[in-house]
Amino acid sequence: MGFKAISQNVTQSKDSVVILSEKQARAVAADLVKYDYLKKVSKEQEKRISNFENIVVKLENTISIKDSIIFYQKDYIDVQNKVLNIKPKPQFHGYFGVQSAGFTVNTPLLSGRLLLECRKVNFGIQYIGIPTVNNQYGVLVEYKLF
Amino acid sequence: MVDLYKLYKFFKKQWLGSILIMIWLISVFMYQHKKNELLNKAYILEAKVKELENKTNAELKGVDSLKTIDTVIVTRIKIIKQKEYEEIRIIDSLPISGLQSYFTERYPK
Repeated sequence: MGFKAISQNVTQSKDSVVILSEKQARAVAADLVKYDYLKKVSKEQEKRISNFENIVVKLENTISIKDSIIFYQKDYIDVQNKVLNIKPKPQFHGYFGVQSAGFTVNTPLLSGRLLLECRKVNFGIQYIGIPTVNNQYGVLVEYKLF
Repeated sequence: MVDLYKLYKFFKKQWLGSILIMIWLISVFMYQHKKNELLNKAYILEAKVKELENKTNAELKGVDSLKTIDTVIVTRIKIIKQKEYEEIRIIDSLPISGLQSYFTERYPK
């Protein structure tokens, strides 16, 4: 069983008639349906591609921002380290203790020092003695050897 | 009232101690100044990092919403494929007259 199918090409060639079998006609119709839906799918896929492109752009932005965060955090750590490491120079310290006169524990003396400690040199005052009996005060200048 | 002469005499007598205390005070002031400067810098950097973290979160939210859109598109494609399958089945079961009218509708004269 045949029937007339008019395709675009056929119409262009002065309405020539092409005879198709039912099977062929059904196959052509199915192909046409597939073609129509493929066009729709293609449109959706294009949307998907542009969506993916946007995702890629956003992820690239995120990566560059994360890089910046790492950079600034390194700077932040450096600054915090500097804050921890800076100490007032010269520093002011006081020491108080007991010392002996000679290598014996029979004559303990009180000892105290107030020092202004620079990098290599310390300036200050020193006290050695027994309160109310023997007091010795003096100015102290020390050079740091090691 | 402060007796300036007495003060002058005191400083003249305790010149070494006064100089040491002055040096110490200046060093403490310089230390504080440097520390404040560094803390200020750290604060600015911290603020910048927070700002960038907020920006990252916004970008990631954008990515999430785009992923949701992708899921919607995939669902739409599935529906289209289903419709296509159904239409092909209809065409397979169409009578000859139906096929003829299909072609006539598709390519009107």
